[in-house]
Amino acid sequence: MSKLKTQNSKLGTQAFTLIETLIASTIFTFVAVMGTGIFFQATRVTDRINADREIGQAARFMFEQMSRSVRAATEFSIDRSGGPAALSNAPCPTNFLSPKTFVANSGTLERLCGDRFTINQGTTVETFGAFPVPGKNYTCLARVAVSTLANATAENCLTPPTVSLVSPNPADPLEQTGFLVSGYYRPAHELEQKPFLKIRATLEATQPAPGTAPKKSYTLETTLVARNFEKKY
Amino acid sequence: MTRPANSYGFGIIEVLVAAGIIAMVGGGVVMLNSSVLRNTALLADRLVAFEWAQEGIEVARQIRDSNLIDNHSETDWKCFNPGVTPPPSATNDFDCGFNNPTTSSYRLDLSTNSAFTTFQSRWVLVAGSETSQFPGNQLTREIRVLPAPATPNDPQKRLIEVTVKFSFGSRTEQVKLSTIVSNWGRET
Repeated sequence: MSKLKTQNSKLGTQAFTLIETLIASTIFTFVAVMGTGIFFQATRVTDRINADREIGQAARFMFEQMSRSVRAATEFSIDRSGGPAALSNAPCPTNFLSPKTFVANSGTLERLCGDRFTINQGTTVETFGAFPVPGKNYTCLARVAVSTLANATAENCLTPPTVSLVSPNPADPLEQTGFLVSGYYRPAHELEQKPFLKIRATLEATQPAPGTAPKKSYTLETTLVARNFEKKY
Repeated sequence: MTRPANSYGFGIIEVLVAAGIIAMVGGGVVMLNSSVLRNTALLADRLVAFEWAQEGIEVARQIRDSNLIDNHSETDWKCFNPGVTPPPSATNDFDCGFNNPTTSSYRLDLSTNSAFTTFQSRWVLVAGSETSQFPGNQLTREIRVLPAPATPNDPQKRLIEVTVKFSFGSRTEQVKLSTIVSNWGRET
């Protein structure tokens, strides 16, 4: 033993034993696996944080824009993508508590829902609605200067490409776009309550790629009252 | 047993200290990650709660305004005078729970009062609280009509306080919004 040691010392080398090598490599493996795990977890966390932040910013921006327009509206109407005619036969989902709307044609009160609405502010007319962006796999909330979304382009989107409107319940034809509008908008001369729009939007991040975890959608619901609607008093 | 003069290993204390430091640093990184994740998710949930609370404020104002413009003086300033004995003519929808103490909570509901048939689509405040009816987050909303802080004895001013509660992990989080409304009809 002492002879070997002397020889080693002479050579200036100190070899590791098999046991030492095994222990060292095991420890190294553990550390490497842990480090990799932490790294990937951190990446996932960062993705998730970015997704939540994008959704928060997009939601704040779109609600702010809609609320400005609705507050200043002198007139508005609710519509479905199918066209104005579809409005008369489109009741709201039962879980969407919204006062009934006066239907001009039938003269009855019904709870009507749409997935877009049009605002009049004097000479300004703008339509807000869910708009599947052509060639992309996301649906945005678009604001267009015409009463139809057919002419919309990706530039009309209020929500960024990183956030998409998604259906909270694809089986329900009323909730297929993730954007649901109801409201009370009787003609001004029959006004007995302040007109309003009730809006439900479901947002999901498009990153990471759609359908891959982690994924969380946020459903936001609020009511916006048209304060400038033709006043009666 | 003596160690060879030129060998040199770590003592058990050193190894433990080193392992402890590594564990603390690693654990700290993991905890930091998860706490940032939790806080961001909490912020997103708060946004949902905030919009719903905002609706409570918006609709409370809408009720105040609508009650004034509807040409029915008996509805003016209704829902904002809790603790007052209801007039004999008041029906349950329009008294807005007059008999409840000022601290009890209200929820938004739709009027079903047949005495006001043209109002059938009206929002009203009725006693109780409500849970969210939309998918995803389960939220509870309570609306309170309280004396205005600066002028608690003025029945023409009320503090509207909307509290939205939601569970986040094991905790209950809440978003609270409030505004003061005044009776626009007081001068007429």
